[in-house]
Amino acid sequence: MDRNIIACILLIALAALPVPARARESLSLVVTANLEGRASLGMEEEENDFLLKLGQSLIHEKGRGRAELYLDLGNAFYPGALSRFSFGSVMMDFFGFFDCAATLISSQDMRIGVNNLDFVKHNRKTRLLSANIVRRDTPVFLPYFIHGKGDASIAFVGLSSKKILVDIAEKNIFRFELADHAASLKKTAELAKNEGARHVVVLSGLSTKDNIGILKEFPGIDLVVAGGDNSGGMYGSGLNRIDLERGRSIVLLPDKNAYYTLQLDIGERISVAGFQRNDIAARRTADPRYRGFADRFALWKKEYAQEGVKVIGSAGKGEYAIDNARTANLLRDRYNAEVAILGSGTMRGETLKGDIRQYDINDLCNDEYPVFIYFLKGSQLQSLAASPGDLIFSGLSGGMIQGYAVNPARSYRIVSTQSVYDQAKRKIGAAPKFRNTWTGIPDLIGKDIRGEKVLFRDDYGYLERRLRATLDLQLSNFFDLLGVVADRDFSSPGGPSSSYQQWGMENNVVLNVYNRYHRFIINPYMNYVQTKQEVVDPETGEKKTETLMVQNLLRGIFEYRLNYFTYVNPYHKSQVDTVVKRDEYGDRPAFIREVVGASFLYRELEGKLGAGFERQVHDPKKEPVYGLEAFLAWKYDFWTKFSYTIKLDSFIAKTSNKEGEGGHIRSEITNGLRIRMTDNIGLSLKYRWYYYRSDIEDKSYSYRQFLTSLDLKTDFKVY
Amino acid sequence: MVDYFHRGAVESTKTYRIHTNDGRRTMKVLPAIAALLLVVSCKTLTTSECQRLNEELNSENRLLNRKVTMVTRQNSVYVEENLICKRDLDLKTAQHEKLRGDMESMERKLKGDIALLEQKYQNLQEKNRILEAQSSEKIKELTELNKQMEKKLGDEIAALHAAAKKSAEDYSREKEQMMLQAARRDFENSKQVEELKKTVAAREAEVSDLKTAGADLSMKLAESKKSLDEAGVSMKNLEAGMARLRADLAAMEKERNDLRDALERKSAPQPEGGAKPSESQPVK
Repeated sequence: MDRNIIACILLIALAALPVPARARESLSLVVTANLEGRASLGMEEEENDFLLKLGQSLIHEKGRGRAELYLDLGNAFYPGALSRFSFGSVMMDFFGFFDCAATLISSQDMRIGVNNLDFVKHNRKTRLLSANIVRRDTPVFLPYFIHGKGDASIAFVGLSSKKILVDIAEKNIFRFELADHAASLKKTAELAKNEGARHVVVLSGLSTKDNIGILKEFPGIDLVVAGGDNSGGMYGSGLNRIDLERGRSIVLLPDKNAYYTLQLDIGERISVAGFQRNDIAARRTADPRYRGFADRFALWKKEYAQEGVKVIGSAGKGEYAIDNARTANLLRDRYNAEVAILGSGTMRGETLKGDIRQYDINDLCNDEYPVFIYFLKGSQLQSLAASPGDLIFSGLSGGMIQGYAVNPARSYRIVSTQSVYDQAKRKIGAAPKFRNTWTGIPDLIGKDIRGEKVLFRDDYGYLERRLRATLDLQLSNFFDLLGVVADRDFSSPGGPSSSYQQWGMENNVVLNVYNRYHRFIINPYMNYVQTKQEVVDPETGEKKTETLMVQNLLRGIFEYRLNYFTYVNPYHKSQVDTVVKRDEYGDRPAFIREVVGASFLYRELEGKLGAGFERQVHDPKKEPVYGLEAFLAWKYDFWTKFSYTIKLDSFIAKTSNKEGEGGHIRSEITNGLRIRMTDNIGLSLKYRWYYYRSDIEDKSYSYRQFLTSLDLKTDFKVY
Repeated sequence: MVDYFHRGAVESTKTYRIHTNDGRRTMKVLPAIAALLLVVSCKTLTTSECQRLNEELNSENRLLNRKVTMVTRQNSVYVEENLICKRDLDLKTAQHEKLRGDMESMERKLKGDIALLEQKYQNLQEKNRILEAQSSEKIKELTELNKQMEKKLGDEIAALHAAAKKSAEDYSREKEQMMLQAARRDFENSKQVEELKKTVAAREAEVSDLKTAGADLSMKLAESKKSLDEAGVSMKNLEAGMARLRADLAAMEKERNDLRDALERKSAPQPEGGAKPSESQPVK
C-alpha cells in the first residue's frame, strides 16, 4: 500500500515537471529553378559558363555555411542543347557533384523522357521527385525524402505541375499519367509521417492558386517552395513570397538567372527566417567537386562537338533564320496539311548558313515531341484560333485557308506536334483522331537539309496553290407504296381509294477542285419523283396503272471561279437541264445556259450576277434567248444542329426573233431548314417555289413543293 | 382498314411460307452467313489489334532508340573518362617508379657522402687540435708584444704632452707683445686723424667763399650773356637789313645791266637781210 502511494506521488511529481521545449533548429537551403540545362557548347573560360559559375557559387555558399541542403525546383534538364544531347546526364552530373539532394520533375524535364530520366538517376545521390506522376496509382518517381537536422526531420514532397505532358510513346507503353495533386499529397504526407517525419515541406511546380489551396487544405503544412513551371508571375509581375496566417509561407523563385538562399527556423512548426536572391558570379575555387564536374563537363562538350561536327548539308550562299514560320511551312509541305500549328517558343530562330553541321540543327528546336496529323472541323479550328494562348497558325490567315473562308462544318487537315495537339485537345474539348508520324521536328529538319531543302525556300506560295478537292453528296430519297384491295365503288371513309406507288429522289453532288486562285465546280443534280397510280375505268371497271412524273429534272453544272479578289471575282457557268426520263410525248427536251459574270462571297452570303444566253437545244431546238442570271444564297447556322438556307436562282431574258418578240423569266426560290442528327444524317424541310413565264407564248407555269426528307449528307476531301 | 391490315398479314404469311418451304436451303445459308459474320468480325478484331500492336511497337521503337542513343553517348563519355583516368594512373605509376629510383640513388649517394663527411670531420678535428696547441703559443707571444707596445706608446704620449705645453707658452708670450704694438700704433693714428679733420674744416671754409664768389660771377655772366643776346638780335636785324639791301642792290644791278644791254643794241648798225623786227625783238 505504501509502495503504491509512493509510486502515485512519484508519477504526479513527474507529470508536474515542465515538459522540455523542443529544441529549435535552423536549416539553410540553397534553391535553384529553371536551370534549363543552360551550358555553353564551346570550350569557353570557366568564368563565362553559366553552369560552371553556378557551381562556383554553390561551393562558395557551402564554404560560408549557407548551403546545408541544395534543392532544385525543376525544369533543369531542358531545353539546353548539351543536356538534351546527353538526355539529362550532364545535369545529373552537375547535381551529383554539387550535392543536390533532389530535383522536382517539371514539364520541360518530361521532354527528356521518363524512361531516360529513370535511367540517368541510377547510382546517383540526387533524387528525382514527383508524387503525382503515376503509373497505376503508384508514383513513378520518388514522392518524398526525409532530411534530418538535430531533432527535426523534414519530409520534402514533390508535386509536379499540371503542364506535365507525357510522350505518346511512354503513354502507350507505360501508361504514365498525372494524378490529382491533392490526393497524391495526402497519401504521401501520411507515408512520410509514418516514416517519422515531423514536418512536411512541399516542393511544387503548381500554380500559385493551387499552392494556396494546398496550404488551406493541409493545415499541417507550413511551407511551399514553388518554382519550375511556376515562375512566380501574377498580374504581370514577379512574386517571390506570399505569407499566410501563423507564419505559413509560399516562397517562389521567379529569377532563373539567380539562386536563392532560404533560412528555415524549425521548432514546433517551420517558418521562414530569411529568403534571399543571389547573383550567380564567378568565384575561383580549387574544390575537387568542382574540378571533377568541370572535367566531366568538358568531356560531354567534346563528345557533343565530335558528333555534331559532321556536315549534313549546305545552305548555299544564303542565310536562313529557321523560325516558326519556316518550320510550319516545312510541316505543311511534308504532310500536305492545310494548317500547321506550333507553339510560339517551338523554334529558336537560329540562322543557318554555309555548311550545316549536326550541332547546328541540334539547337534549333524546343519541341521534340512527335508530329501528329489530324482533322479539325472548321468550327473547332476557329475556336482554337480565337482562344487565348501562344499558338501560331500557318496556313490560316484572317479566317481564311488557301484564300477561302473557313467553313465551320468542313474538316481541315492539321499538322502539329504532340504538345500542341494536347493543348488543342484541351481547348476545343474534343480529342480528334490522329496519325502519329513518329518523327520529331529536329529529325524532319535534318532530313530536309539532307534532301529537298524546303526550309531554305524564299517563297512558300506553292503550298497555297496546291490542288485540293471536296466532294459533297446530298442524297434524299423516299419510297411510298400503298396497296388497296376493295370492292368496286367501296372504300373506307378517309382511306385511299386506289393503290399507288410513289418514289423519288433529290440528289445533289458537288465536286470542287480548287487551289488558292482557281476553283472548278462540277455539280450533277437530279430531282425525280414518280407516281404510279391504279386507275379504274368507270365504264368497264378495268384497272390500269397511270404513271405521272412529278419531278423529272437532270441538271449538270460546270463552273469556273477565279479566286483572286477578296469579295468579288469573275465566274463562268455552263448549265445543262434535261429530263431523267422522256416525257409523255417521248421527247427529251434540253436547255443549256452559258453565263459569264461576277460572283460575290461574304461569309455565308453568296451572290452571282451574270449575263449570257439560254437555249433549248433539243426537242425542239429553239433560238437562243439572251438575258441575265441572278443567284443569291444565304446560310445561317443556329442552335448547333440547325441550319437555315434560302436560295434564289433566276434567269431573265428578253429577246426578239422570228418566233416573236418578248422574253421569259425562270425563277426558283428554295427555303430549307435542316436538323443535323449525326454528322452525316439530317432531317430536311424544304419549300420550293418555281415560276416560268414565256412572253412569246404568253403562258406561265409555276409550282410549289414542300419536301420532308431524310438526307445523307457527307463531305469528302481529297488531299 | 381491316382489308389493309389483312393484306399485310397475308403478305407476311407468304414471306414466311417461302422460307419454310425452302427449309433445307435456309439451313445451308444460315451457317454460311454466321461463318461470314464470324470471319468479318474476326478480321475487324485483328485489324484493330494490329493497329494497337503497331502503335505499341512504334512506341517501343522510339523509346529504345532514344535510350540506345543516350546509353551510347554516356558510354562514349565514360570510356573517354576511363581512358583519361588510366592515362593519369600510368603517368603517376611511372612517376612513382622514377621517384623511387631517384630516392634509392640519392640514398646511396647520401651514404657515401656521410662516410666522406665523417672522414672529413675527423681530419678537421685533428687539425683543430693541432691548431689549438699552436695558437696558445702564439697568444702568449702576442700578449708580450702587446705589453711592450703599450709601454712604448705611453712614453711617446708623455713626450708629446711636454712639447705641446711648451709651444702653448711661447704662443701666449708672442701674442702679448703683438697686442702692445697694436695699441701704440692705434694711438698715433688717432692723432693724425684729428689733424686731418682740422685741415679739412679750413678747406671747407675756403670752398664756401669760393662758391659765393662763383655765384656773383655767374650772375654777372648771365647779365653779359643777356647783353650779348640782345647784341646778337640787333646784329641779326642788321644782317637782315643788309641782306635786303644787297638784294635790292642786285636787282638794281641787274636792271642797270639790262638797260646797258638795251642801249648797246640800239647804238649798234642794222645788218642786211637782217631778221624782221617781229623775229628779233623780244616781246615784253
